[in-house]
Amino acid sequence: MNKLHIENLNSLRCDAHGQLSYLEKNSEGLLKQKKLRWKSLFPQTEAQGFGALLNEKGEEEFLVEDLKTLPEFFQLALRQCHERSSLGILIESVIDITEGAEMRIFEVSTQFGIRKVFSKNDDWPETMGTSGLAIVDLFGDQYCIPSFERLDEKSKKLLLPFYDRLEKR
Amino acid sequence: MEVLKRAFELLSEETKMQNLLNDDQRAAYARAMPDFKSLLGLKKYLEIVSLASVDLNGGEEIWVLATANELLIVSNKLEASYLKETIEKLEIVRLRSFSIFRVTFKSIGALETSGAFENEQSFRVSHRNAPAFDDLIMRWNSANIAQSNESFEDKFYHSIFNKVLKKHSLNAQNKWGVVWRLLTYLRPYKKHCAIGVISSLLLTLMVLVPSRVTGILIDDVFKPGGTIAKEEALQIFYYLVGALALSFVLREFFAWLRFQYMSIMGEFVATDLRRDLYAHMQTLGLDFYSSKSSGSLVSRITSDTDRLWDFIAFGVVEVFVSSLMLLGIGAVLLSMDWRLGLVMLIPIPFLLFSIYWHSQRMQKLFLRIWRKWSKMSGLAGDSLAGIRVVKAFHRGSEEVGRFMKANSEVLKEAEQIHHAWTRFWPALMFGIHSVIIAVWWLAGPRLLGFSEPHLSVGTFISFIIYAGLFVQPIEVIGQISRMMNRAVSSAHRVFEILDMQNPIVEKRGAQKMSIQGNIEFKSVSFSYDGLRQVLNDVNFKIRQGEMIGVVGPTGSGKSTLINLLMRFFEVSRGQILIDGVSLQDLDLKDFRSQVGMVLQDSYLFHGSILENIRYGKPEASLSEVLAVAKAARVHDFVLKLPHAYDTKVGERGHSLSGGERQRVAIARALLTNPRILILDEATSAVDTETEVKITEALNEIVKGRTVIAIAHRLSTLKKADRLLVFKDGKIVESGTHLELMSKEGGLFQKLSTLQRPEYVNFENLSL
Repeated sequence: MNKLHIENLNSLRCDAHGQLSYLEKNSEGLLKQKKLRWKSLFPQTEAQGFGALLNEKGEEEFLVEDLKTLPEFFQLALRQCHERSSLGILIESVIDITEGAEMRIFEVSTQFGIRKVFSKNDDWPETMGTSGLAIVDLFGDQYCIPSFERLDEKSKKLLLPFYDRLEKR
Repeated sequence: MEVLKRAFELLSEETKMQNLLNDDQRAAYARAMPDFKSLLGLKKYLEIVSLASVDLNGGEEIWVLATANELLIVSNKLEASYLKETIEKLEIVRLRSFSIFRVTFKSIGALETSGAFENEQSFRVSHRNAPAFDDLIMRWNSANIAQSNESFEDKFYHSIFNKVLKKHSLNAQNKWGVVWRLLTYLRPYKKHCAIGVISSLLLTLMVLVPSRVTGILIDDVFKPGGTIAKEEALQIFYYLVGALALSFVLREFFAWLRFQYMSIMGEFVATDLRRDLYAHMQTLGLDFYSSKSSGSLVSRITSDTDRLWDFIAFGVVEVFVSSLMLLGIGAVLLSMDWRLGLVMLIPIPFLLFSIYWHSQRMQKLFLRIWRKWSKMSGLAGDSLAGIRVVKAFHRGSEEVGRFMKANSEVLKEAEQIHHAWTRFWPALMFGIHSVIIAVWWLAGPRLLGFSEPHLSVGTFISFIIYAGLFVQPIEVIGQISRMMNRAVSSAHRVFEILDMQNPIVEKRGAQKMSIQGNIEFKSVSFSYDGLRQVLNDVNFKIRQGEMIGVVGPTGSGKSTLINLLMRFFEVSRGQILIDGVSLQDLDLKDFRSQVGMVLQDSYLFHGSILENIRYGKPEASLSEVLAVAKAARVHDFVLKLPHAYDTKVGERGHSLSGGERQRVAIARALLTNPRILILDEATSAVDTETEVKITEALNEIVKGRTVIAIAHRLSTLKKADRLLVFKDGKIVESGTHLELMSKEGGLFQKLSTLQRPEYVNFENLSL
C-alpha cells in the first residue's frame, strides 16, 4: 500500500544531481519541500522500471512497478532522475594498469581529470551492457567505459585481460 | 603548502610508509589546494576544524571548510561564507554512482508561503571523498566542536588522509626493497649460505670440466698423425678419463652439498616467516581481525610462505647458479677462442630480453585465466556449500551446466596461453640454434685451414658442447621477472602484517591484582572509525557481585561496551576503572584471566571436549573439569558420546548441537573461576528447551560474580539486579526491571510489551 498517492506527487521534479522532490502542505497550510530518493529495485536486471520512492528516512512512500502506467510528468521526472543520478565517472582513456599485492591500480583519464582507481585484485571489472566496462573502486565509486570498442588502441590493449568480447587470435 | 607538508610528516611518523598515500589525491591536493592562510587570514585559518573537497564539479576543485560557526566554500578565492545560524542542516547523501553534499538553508517565511522549493546548495562528490564530508558534518554538529584541541594539521590529516589510508593496503612499489628485506631472513644461516655458494662455484667448475677435457682428448690424444707416441697417448688418455670420472664424482658431491645447504634455506626462511607472522598476529587487536578475512590470513601463513620457500629454494638459488654458469661458460669460451666466444655471447642479452618480453605478454593472459579460474572456483564453492538447497530445488543439472560453462571458459584461456607458449619457445630455440649455426659457419673455414687463425677440432667440439649448456641458464634467468613478481606479491602480504602494530599498548610495570569485580565507566566515549560515536559519554558503576542486564537495539553500543571492558579496543575518551584502578594500568593477561566470556555463537576449536574446556587453563585437573562440566550441564550429554570427554568436536564443533556447544563454552568460562563474567546474548541462538538447560547452567555460574549480561530474553532481564538501557551509544534508562516497567512512557516499558512477550523487542526502535 503506497503512503503517497499520485495526486500528491504532481509537483514532482528532479534537480541537476538527480534529486527528486515535491511540495506538500503541512498542517498550517504552508507548502513544504519534501525530498524523495529513487531506489531502483533491479538496477542491473531492469534499471528503468521497478523502483521505489523513498523518503529521507529511507522508508518507501511509493512503489513503481510499471512506469508506463504513470502520468507523463512522473515519467519525465523519473527519467531525468535516472539519467542524472546514474552517471558514474566516465573513463576517456586508460593510461596504465599496475598490479599490486592486494590491489589493482588503474590510472585513467576522466572528465574530471586524471585519476587513480584503486580496486581489489579479486574485484574484477564488470561488463556493462553490450560493450561497456565498469570498474568499482574501494570506495564504491563507479568508473565507466560506455563502449570498449571506441577506446584508443593503447587503452584496449591494457584492458584486454578484463574484457571478454575482444577475442585475440 | 605547509599544511600539506605537515600532513605528509604526520603520515611518515605514523605509518613510515609515504607510498601508502594515494598519489592521485596527493597530486590533486598539491595542484588545486588553495593557500588557506593567505586567502582567509591567519585567524580564520586556525579556526578551521574540518575540510573536504568537491571532486566531481567538472571545473576547478572546490573546498568546503568548516569552523565552529561558519561554512566556507573556497576555490582559488573565497566563493561563499555562511554563518551557522543561517544553515538548517548539512548532509551527505550517498546515491548509487556518487554522493551529494547538500547545504540546506533555513527558510525565510516568504519562501514557505510562496510555495517555492527550499534554498539549498548541492555539490556532487565521489564516494571516495564522501567520508571527509561525514567528518565535516560530524564536527559541524558536534556540541564540543570548539573545544577540540587538535592542531589544524592533525584535523587535516584526520579528515582527509586517514580515510584514504584505512582503505588502502600497501602497494609494493619498491620491489627490490621487499626482496632485500626477504633476503635478510638468510642472515641467521650464514654458514649454510657460505657453504652453498662455495659448492655452487665448485659445481659450476666441475660442469665445465668435461667439455674442456673432451677437447683436449681430441686435439692432443686422438688426433691422427700426432706428435705423441701411441703408448704415451694411451697413458695420457687414461689420466684424462680418470680426471673426467673424478669431475663427475666431484660434480655430484658438490651438487649434493648445494642441495643440502642451499635448498634447505628456503625451508628455514619459510619456517621463520611463519613463526614470526603467526606470533605477531596473536599480538594484534580485534580491529585488525575485523579488517581481514580469516581465509586471507591463513593463506598468508600457508600459501604465501610456501611461495617464498619456493622463491628462495629454487628461484634465488637457481638464478644464482645459472648466472655463475653463464659467466663460467662465457669466460671459458672467450679464453678458448675470443672470436667464436663473442659470436656466442653477444646474442645472450637479446635472448634474455625476449624471454622477459614474452613473460610480460604472458602476464596478461595469466590475468585472464586467473579471472576465469576465480569465477569457476567461486561457482563450485558456492554450490557445494549450499548443496542442500541445490538438492531441495532439484537444480543439480543446472549447476553442472553453469560449472561446465565456467570450466570451458577456463579451458579457452588455457588454450590461448598454450598457443602463446608453444609459438614462443620454438622461436627462442631457433634463435639459439641460429647462434650455433653461426658458430659452425664461422668455424668451418678455420677448421679446414681456409682462414686464420686455425681452429682445432677439439676446441670446436668443446664449443658445441658448451653451446648446449647455455639453454637452461638462459631460460632460468629469463624467468626471474615472473618469479620475482610472485615472490614480491607474497612477501608484501607477509610484511604488511608484520609491520602492523597493536594500538593497545601495555604500560611498563602494569599492575597485577586479584579483582573483586567493581567496574566503573567514567565518561567513556568510543568510535571504531574515528567518525561515528558508538558510545557517547557513558557513565555507570557496577558493584562486585551485581548482575547487570544490558539492553538496546542493534548498534546501540552493547557489544562495544564489552569490547572496551575486555580492552580489545582503547577508549577514545574517558576511563574504565576496575576496583578503582584504571584498566590501562592493569596487566592485560592477568586481568583477562579473571574475566570469563560466553558469546552468542561460541567457537569451539578443533579438538576434544576436554581440550576445549581446558583452553583457558590447560593445567586444570580432570576433577576440576568434571566439576565445571556438571555445573554447566555438559556432563549429561557427554555421557552419551562414544568417547565422552575425549570426543573430537571438529573445526567448529560441528558434531555438537548449538545448545551443547554453548554449554561447553560456559564450562570453559567457568574453569578459570572468573570474578567478572560477560554473557553476550548467550541464550539467544537456541530454542526454549535448550535455553532452560543453559539458564540452569548460567544460574550456577553467576553466583558470587559480577555479571554483565547482554540479553533480549525477559527471563534473563528479570534476574538482573539492574538494567542499563542503551540507545544511540548512550544510557537512556537504568534501574531494576520493576522500576523500568513501572516508568510511565519509559522506553523499556513501551517496547517490552510489543509482539512476543518473552522478548524485549528493540528491533523497531525509532523514538
